[in-house]
Amino acid sequence: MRRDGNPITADIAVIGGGVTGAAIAYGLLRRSRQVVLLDEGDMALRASRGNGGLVWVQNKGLRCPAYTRLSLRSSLLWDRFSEDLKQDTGIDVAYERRGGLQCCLSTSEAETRAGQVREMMAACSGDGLDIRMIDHDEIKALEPRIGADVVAASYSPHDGAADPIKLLRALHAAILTRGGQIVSGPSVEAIECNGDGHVLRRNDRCVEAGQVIVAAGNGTRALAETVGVHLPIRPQKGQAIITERFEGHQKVFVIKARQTNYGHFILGSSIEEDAPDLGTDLGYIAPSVARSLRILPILRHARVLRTWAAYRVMTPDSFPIYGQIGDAEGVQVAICHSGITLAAFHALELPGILTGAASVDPITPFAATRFKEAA
Amino acid sequence: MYDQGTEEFDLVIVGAGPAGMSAAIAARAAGLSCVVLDEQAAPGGQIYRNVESNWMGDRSILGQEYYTGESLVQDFRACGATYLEGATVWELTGDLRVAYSRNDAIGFAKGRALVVATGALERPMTIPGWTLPGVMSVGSAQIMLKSEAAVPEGRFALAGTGPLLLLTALQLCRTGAKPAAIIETGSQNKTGAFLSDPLASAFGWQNLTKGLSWMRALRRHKVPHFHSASDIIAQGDDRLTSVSFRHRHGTEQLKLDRLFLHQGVVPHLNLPASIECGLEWSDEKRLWRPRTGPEGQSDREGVFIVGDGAEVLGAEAARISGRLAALEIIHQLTGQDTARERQVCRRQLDTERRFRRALDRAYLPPRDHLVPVSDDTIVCRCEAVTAGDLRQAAHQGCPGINQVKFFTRAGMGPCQARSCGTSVSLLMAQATGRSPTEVGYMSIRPPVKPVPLQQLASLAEEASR
Repeated sequence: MRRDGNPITADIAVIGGGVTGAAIAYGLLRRSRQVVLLDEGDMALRASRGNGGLVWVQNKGLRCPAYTRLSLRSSLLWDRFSEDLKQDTGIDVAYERRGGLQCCLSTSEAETRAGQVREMMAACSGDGLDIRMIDHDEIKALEPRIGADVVAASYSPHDGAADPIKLLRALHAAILTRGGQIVSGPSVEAIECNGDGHVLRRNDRCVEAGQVIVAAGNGTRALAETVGVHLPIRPQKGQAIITERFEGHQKVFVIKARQTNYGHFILGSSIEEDAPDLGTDLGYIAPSVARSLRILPILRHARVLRTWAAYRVMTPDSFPIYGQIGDAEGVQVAICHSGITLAAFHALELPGILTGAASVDPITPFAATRFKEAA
Repeated sequence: MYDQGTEEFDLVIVGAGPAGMSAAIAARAAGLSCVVLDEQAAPGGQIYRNVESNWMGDRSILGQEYYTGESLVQDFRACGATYLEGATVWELTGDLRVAYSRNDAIGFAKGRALVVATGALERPMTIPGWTLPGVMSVGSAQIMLKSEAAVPEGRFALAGTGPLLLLTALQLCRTGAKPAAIIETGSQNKTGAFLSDPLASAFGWQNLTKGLSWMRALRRHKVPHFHSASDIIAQGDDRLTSVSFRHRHGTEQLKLDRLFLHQGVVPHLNLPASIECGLEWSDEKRLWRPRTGPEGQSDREGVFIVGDGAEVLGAEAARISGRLAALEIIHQLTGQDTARERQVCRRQLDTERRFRRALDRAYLPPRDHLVPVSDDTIVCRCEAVTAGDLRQAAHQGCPGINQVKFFTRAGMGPCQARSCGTSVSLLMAQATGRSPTEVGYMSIRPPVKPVPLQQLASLAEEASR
């Protein structure tokens, strides 16, 4: 690590070394841009280290067809994305599009879910979206271990999963392989516009760049304030439960009861606002485990290995924010709470859009300005 | 709420070794209510494991020191503390509550103060081949001896350093199971370390003579004893077949069925680390320990850490430190003046520390055995992560140990980094040219021991009833 205090210079600085920032940096390097990726220290909040690795479409964009289309688009780019990462780094991020289930444990849950599916299909079936409700017997054909309490499920062939650990590692490796620079350490405290470029201030050094892309997750809000822009981003806590490795293999991925490529199950996924810390608590974990055992009763013989929590990067309408913020030309943001699903889009298409090489149409619905009207 | 049936006590103690038992005895003598949770079936901890009902007919085999545990266990049984044997504590929360599994159900106990007395763990000795079947720790050989009077079958040797290595070798000799060799790292002249520290040798006179008498006894049993050993390699394809090493007078290769490794013990960090008690690196002893005050106070309010789990000083010191923490807690909860007794305990502990410093110096594990030299050697056994994997991750832009954990899965297995935590921290420090303090220790997430899903689900069902 350099500590000499000399400024670092680059065409483009990406702030945020999580999956989103790293995917964008990787994509910029693929377009032969000179990039520095600024990463925080070891104890960064890093939602990239707290997620289930799902590349998921079927629950994305209820009442926002643009978001459904974006998620579908990214899911379709994932094959190429994982293949390219493997070629660049030798790391297989274990992406598989096996299809996914969202299980319903009562007829009322099933009715609610069926209504949502109808609405999404009405909006996006013309874009190739495929989500359908299936009954217990159809579920059993896909996942023989399913519990008798599961009366129905929504199924989508688009859904898949990757190994989020390998993904972040592969992205960092690919950035280094392609000549990018990763500088970890203190957080960037401020963005200053300086003639035709920008200066990023950290407590140990400065970074000078023509263009700045802020992909700093929940840290983005404070950074945007330094250029006079208010972004309504909030941390939303999610707890999850990891079991020991378990025999068998899921033919389809089950949301909230997904078996990883290592054999562990990842159970639950809470939604908590205004959480004071990232502690886990039995008030969520016990009922969540009870529900998981109704979905997959064979898990009663398994043991919980670890519980953890992370903060999602949440916006008022839950959709991403992309593009220029405020009047500060050359300062753009990219934040979302589905960084794994959208990683392929972030790496393969968003960099072209953010550098003016491709049409901005795909990100127009996700401009930061949409929140001004609501305010 | 999911802590229904929580029992409340003045004092909750985790661990029924010498430190935990002494704390309970002192607390009960002052009239405090007290619960002691312990994973084993009987009190005693590792040192006095199974001391009440040991199968060994001949008391000279395990030695007099082991049986000194009998009276402590008796006093503990009689002290009136609620004793929950077979209880696996898997979570500690800031409100001084522990969650545990016992008899297939989850229970909770809450205290006005909490004493963590979870002892020490053997430091893994990560030589090439250390994960081969047939290679075990010296501690596990001793556990078999104490709990089942069982001795290793076939040809076996012990390798590494530390008093436990010699004591166990001697205990095995006494049963008639003679080791094929003792392969000791470090110099032959252990007394040198003591003599260079006259104060230590004066204070630790008894212990020093004890050590020398073990050496003489081992010579009488004619156990081949190699000194200054290095480059120890456990060999074999799918199980151990031999060990090779260098020593002062050349190189050696021995055919073996079993190899027992040991290089000292380190504090068991998982429970304190899981509630973010501060840890500190001791360069002198090459280990991580929880930061504690003079009476065992951790930096979490109301949580005391005692015995070898705070500072590895052995059974006698553990007994004193357990009592010392209890005296401080008695003072805090009842206002009773325990200052004089505490001062006596602190002096006794200082004496133990003096001796221990020399002992640690004499038996300091070599750096090569703390961090594997070869990239192929496994560091994290649960997830089969090699030293090479870790070094590569350290160079792939990892700012610290938690990213390395995430990138490699080291420390994510069932043992929750109990075994590899220190090795990973040291390796990362070495690979990036920083100190272990800068690199830090991995974050530990609850549960610190695996919990059956069925037990958690039952908890929710009870709550909804």
